[in-house]
Amino acid sequence: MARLNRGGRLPASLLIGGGLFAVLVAVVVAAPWVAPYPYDEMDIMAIKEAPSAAHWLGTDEFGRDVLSRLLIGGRTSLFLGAAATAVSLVIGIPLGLLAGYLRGFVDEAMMRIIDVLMSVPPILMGLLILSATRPSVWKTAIAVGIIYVPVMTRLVRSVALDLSREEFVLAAQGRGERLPWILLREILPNAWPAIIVEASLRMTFAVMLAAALSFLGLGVQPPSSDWGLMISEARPFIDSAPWIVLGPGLALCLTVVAINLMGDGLRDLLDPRMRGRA
Amino acid sequence: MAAYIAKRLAAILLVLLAVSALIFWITQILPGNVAYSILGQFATPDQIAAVEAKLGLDRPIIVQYGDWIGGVLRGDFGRSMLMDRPVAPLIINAIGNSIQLAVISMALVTVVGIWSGVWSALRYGRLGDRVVSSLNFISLAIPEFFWAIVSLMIFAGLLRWLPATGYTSMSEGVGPWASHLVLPVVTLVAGLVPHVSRLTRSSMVETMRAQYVVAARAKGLTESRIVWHHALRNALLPTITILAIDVGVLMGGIVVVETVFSYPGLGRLLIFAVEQKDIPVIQAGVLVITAIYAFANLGADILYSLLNPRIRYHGAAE
Amino acid sequence: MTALLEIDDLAIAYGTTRGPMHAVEGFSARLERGRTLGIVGESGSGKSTVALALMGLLPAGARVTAGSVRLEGEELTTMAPEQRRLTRGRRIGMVFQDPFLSLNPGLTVGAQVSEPLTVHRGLDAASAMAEAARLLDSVGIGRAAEVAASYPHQLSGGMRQRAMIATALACDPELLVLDEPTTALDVTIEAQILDLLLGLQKDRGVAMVFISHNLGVIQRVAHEVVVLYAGRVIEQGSADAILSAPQHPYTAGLLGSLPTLDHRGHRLTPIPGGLPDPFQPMQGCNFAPRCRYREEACVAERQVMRPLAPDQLVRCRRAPLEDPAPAAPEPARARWAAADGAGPVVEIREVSKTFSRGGWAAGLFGRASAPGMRALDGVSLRIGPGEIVGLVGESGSGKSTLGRCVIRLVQPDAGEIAVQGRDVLRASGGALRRTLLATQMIFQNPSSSLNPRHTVAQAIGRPVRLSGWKETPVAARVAQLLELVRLPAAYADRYPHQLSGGERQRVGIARALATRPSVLLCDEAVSALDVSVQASIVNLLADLRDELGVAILFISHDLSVVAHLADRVAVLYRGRLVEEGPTEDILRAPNHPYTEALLSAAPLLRTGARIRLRGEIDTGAPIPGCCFTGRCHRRIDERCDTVPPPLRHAATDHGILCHIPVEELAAR
Repeated sequence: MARLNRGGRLPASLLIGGGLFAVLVAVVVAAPWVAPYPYDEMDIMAIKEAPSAAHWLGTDEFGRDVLSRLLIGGRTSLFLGAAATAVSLVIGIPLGLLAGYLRGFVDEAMMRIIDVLMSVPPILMGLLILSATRPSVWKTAIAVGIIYVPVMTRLVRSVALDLSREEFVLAAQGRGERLPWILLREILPNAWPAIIVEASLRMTFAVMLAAALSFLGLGVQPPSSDWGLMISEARPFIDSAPWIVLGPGLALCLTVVAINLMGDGLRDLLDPRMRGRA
Repeated sequence: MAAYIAKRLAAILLVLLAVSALIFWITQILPGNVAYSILGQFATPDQIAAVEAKLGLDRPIIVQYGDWIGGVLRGDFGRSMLMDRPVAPLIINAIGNSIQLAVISMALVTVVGIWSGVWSALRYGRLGDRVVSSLNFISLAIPEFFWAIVSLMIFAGLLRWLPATGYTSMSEGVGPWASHLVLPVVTLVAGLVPHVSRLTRSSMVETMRAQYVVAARAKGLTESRIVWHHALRNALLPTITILAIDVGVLMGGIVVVETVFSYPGLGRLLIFAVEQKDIPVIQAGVLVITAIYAFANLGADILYSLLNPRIRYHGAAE
Repeated sequence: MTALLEIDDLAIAYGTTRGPMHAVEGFSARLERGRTLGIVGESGSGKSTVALALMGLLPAGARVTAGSVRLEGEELTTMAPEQRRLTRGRRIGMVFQDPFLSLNPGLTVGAQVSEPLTVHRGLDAASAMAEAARLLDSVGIGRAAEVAASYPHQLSGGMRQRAMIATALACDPELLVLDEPTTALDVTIEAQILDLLLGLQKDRGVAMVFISHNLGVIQRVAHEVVVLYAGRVIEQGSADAILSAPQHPYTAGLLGSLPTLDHRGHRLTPIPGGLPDPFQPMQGCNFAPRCRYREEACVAERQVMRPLAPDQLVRCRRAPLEDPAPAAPEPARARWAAADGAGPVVEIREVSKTFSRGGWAAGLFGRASAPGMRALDGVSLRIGPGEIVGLVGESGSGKSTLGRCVIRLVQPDAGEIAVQGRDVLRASGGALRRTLLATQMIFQNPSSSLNPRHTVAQAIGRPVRLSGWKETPVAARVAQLLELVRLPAAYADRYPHQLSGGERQRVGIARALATRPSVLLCDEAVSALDVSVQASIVNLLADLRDELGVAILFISHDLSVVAHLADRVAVLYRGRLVEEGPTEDILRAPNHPYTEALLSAAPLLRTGARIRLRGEIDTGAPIPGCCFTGRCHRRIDERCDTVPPPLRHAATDHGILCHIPVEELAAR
């Protein structure tokens, strides 16, 4: 029955989420050209102004245009999410494939190490790593990526473990295929659906974790800025100029909604068995 | 059963030992960290060497770790560099406040999460289910720190119903105590309920389609007996696992929430320590939180084995 | 007087995104008290849907669109839900196919068996438990009180199915609905369960609706039979009439595709084609596209059930068929002959394997460790060139492990395996890879034996390249291999999900042949297929042996398929080869007692007393004596438990591992 759902139309959630995400990415990438004002231009005549025709999302305590800063900050936030997810994929996929396929000692050893790494809650792991070095955008991306390596490895491992018991893998072993062929040509192509769905989920976590770390002052440092840091800097003015904090906050929520919708849609499209799972 | 618990306990202690080494390694070994943070960025190499010698930082890392972990095992977490006080009492003080926050939040997450998950699973595809699913979806997209700020803005700023920040102990009256807890707790719960609710829902939906549920129907049981007696005990197994994971997420959330609401707990102490590079406090704080998380996992394992006879009898899940 | 169960013109449809799917149409049947109605059909016939409709347990989306179901004259389809619930478990009991899935893993067996009693009879917990123990005892479970207190995972499949039967019988229902109740079980256990059901019917007078794809099982239990094809009844009547003289081409075809022990050497007659599209109900006969008696009117006109005899109705305008018997066997073709003096293709010597339970670090990281399971115990077997050797055994006998040892998927602890004289177990690198190419495996599960992301051409082309094929382009070789397995060359570009189960199995065979192997290992290669498809694959394997001279190790639990195909048969029990010999010799006495029991349990149309084995295969601690002693119906005395049995020769190439002398074994 699962196949009945294949083909035909793409899931609505994928179209909406994917479209929204594409627009967000396009806008922040094009930020320097589409932003109404230079993001660091101060206008002392227009400090903490409410949203208006001139400043759609108002201005901040230095008279800077919130929308323009939002677009530039979004570059960092989206970059952090994407780069961190990429880091976790690049490390997690090979490790997971090896552990799930080889099993035995390699698997046991890796899983015990992962048990240790996963026993520190993510924010604290980030706090630990970033407290030890001078924070920067790059380091934040790598730190968040590394935090999610164990989760990704575990997922790829469990998928690879199931697949390695499938008869087509036994057939490949039985005709003497070498390890790279079995991992890359037999197992990985069938693991992609689960990996892609997990990656989209990871990306929302990564965007939020990076923003939270920046918010706590551990991630992105001024003069660079991301949405987490913008929210943190706007905290003193939540009563007098709430728009400064609402702009980046809502942008963050919108991004997460877009990626989550996309992830749900991908799950329906690629992996009908997973439908309805959390 | 006792043997199973003993084995899990031993495994947890091993993990904690490994984590302590990891924490120590990350905070201590990275170049010039401690002395640098004490002396500031204009320190000369000679000054740094002098401070390191004084603090024993020039000894091999293994020796330093042995020293530290030996102290930890005796309850001595060292001295806070900035406050120049023993770390242990600082931590104990803060932990009491954090535990109140954590326990109340976790209890609410468990009740609301399971209840809403089961409720919407039993209305699968109908209006009630869609409403719960949509609420979960939205709630999942809002980062904790933004939740915290928005609720501050609305309930403390706009409506002035609740105090914005701080903490009062229960000895000063239940009312003030509770009013300080409401916003932090609501923030934490809002972030965690969707995990529990979504997983419980899908697990319950799947269980209600299991062959043994059809077999139970074939016996002529009432729907409520099938749900409460047959399905729920199996459907809750994955929920227990995610509740344990959520204790970890909650610990992270506490760091954020305590910072926003200036709540004097472990999380705020930790952020303060990170800002000031107070390394003994960072080490102790992270280790204590990890330990809480690990023991929550042990509790979940025990609960899991109580509901799952396969583990109870063989000590292992196949 | 009304019958116990009367079904009239029942129709059931599933609502789907593509519109209604007609699962069952025009189903009518009557069942008297104390009798059994057998419903036969292959997968997709709608037989399980009928069972669920009888119980009022159709899944969401499915509904009865027409017709009526009456129990003692009382209409069930329109009954109020609450009243309907009260009929379940009290007046109708049900047993499901898979005993591993139909018991709740979190509740004790006793709690589950006693549940109908507390719900329908209002018994208190203590007396319900006592009654549950009595019920378990009545379905042949020893130490019933102990079993009642245990959890499902602690019981074997046969025991669980007995517990399910006890549950269904708890409130003494008038009707029992059994949906493939023995399909998931080994044949010797199946025989036990069928005996139990027949005995219960005699004692209690309960009526049964027995659903199965297995004609042999239906023949054993049913008085009346309904044959379903793609949702329509195509033939019904007394079991004797239908199973001995089927009048519908489909029923005749089903019987023709079954291998039987008595008709070796005949070619099976499979039914070509596949099931019709359930979304486009056909006006005329829905079997017409696959039927060799088809005429224009079959497709154009609506077909009705016609009485052919007082106790036989057929939905076919051509019936009675002029030639209802299966087509005459094709003359055997010239068989490929091995060169004189050629050595064995596969030589297995004294292979043993013990699986340890739990990983290397099981003890260290808090998992339970258990004693190892002995899967193979000194097994020796030779396969000659162009020879088909059948390896028979129940689940847990070690038969799959032996096959996997030959291609090094499992590394034995001891023994030697050589393929074409080259050592397999100690080879490595290029030498191993070359040897592996000479032994190719065909797997059981058509849905998992092909990589879903590779086209047919990729799946077959890869081993062609690995084998260093240079004579023609790879694509040409793929086309040649597809032709060899009787598939159109255009299939090369298809993905596995675009193929039927039988077609996938053919691709699997083509992939295995791509390396020009000298031996094929078929591990339950036809077990997951419907009988009509199974027959065509069995024929294909026989052809390949004849045309290419490829040797085959045919591993199966199904003795009748093995006996049909194999030149020699080896019988495995608990990792030991208990009997081996030419198929003709295996099929008649003397036999090892275990083989004797398997032969008597073989399903179809075989008269003679059936032998019941006690208990189930036990994979626990090794026994010093005979591995079969615990279940043997001919056990002599303690000698069987303590002394390893000698190898006796019934003929030079027919060995039996038993304490009983050959002469005595022959006189059964």
